Amino acid sequence: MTRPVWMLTAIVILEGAVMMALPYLSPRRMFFGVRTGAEFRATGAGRKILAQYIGWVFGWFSLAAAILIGTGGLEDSTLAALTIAPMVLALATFLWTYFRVRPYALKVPDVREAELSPERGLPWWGWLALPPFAGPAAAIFYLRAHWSEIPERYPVHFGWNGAPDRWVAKSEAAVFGRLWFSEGMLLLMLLLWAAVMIGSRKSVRPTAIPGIFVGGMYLMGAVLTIVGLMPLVRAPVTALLGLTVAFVAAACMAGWRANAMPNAPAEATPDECWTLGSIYVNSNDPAIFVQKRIGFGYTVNLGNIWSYVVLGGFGLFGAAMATLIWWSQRG
Amino acid sequence: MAGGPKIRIDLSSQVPAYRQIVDAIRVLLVNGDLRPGSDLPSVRQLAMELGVHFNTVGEGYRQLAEEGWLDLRHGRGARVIARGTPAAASPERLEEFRVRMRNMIAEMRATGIPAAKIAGELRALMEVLQ
Repeated sequence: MTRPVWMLTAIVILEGAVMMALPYLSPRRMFFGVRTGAEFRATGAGRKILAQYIGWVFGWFSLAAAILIGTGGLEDSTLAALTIAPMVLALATFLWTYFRVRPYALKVPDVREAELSPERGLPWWGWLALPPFAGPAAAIFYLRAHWSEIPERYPVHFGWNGAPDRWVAKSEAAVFGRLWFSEGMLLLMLLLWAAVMIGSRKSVRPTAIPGIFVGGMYLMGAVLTIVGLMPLVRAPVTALLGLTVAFVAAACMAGWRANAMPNAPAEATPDECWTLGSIYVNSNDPAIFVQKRIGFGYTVNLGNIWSYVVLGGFGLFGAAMATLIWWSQRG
Repeated sequence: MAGGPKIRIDLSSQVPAYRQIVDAIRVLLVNGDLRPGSDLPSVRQLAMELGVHFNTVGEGYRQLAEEGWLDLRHGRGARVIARGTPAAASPERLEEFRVRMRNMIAEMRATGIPAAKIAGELRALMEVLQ
């Protein structure tokens, strides 16, 4: 088995594991995005629906993995399709299951609770989001100190095996552009984290969720720093993949503990404001970010005008970052 | 960190949300759970926590300010202020309360709650809100 096939198979297995774990990562009172109460999944109907969903998803990803492993020398486009197709089918299965669960939805009183303590702003541990910025900054200093060792033909793209497959002439933009891009992406994540902290309800926020977000910044800082150093330091791609898989596994575990435990705080959002359990539109709700009903984390309240301002701002920032990386790495 | 006092509203209730906010905060004020000098969350913050419109919380805060409980500071939320003991309610105001109580007690009786139980509940509430 060649290396890309091995890696694509690993990605397919990871995707399958996440899709099969999705119902367990969602808040307990939610079942496939439908408010059924925490007890429903233990009933006969709940168990049957869950078993069938997992069976289908397991089937889609097993089939894709079997084709990947069993057939060698496929075209790149076929390999990509084999990675994406089971995910699309799994999402379709999830949607089908959502419609199966809907008849079991509960109508519960719309009770809200709030603590009458003044605003506290960002959490005290917010400074922990700053160290990841040191990685790319240190890499910039390192590359500047070893400027003469950087090859004149500077690699800007790497293959599955970590070997360069595209080069440009050595320049400040080519060498440091990727690392400035890394700092920009970390800043984008930091701003998104702060926006979620300010624009979501504090009383029902599981503390692990912002922690996972900051953990993601450490992962991104580490990976992008290693990639930025690749011309001088050869890092195995498998190590980067392993690091990412380990983080996803740890995040899923923390998310499950924070979100899916019976005593996890629950956010009361009106059922009629949700579409397919995943799109939230409520013009009467001042929150910009609300807890997801499927999986853990936050989604945007599309009924709030400020959500569009925030999304537009992040979109522009992202576009600027994409332009920076294109400009610095162009041949 | 110890949590502050909490209020709870039911958006599916027929009682308007701002009215529920006023009633819930007034109970805390009368009960001494919120003392003069205590800061309340800003209108934006409380509206977000309760998932209601800013105007709903703003209206509730304004009503409590009119009753002399709160000092509203523009853009900085509200602070509980010392409130002098108001003069005894006028006979008209007393009659208004009497009508409201009579209606509520009639509603309780209509749902099958015995008179003795209602009297006990009223006594217990009076002790709490002394």
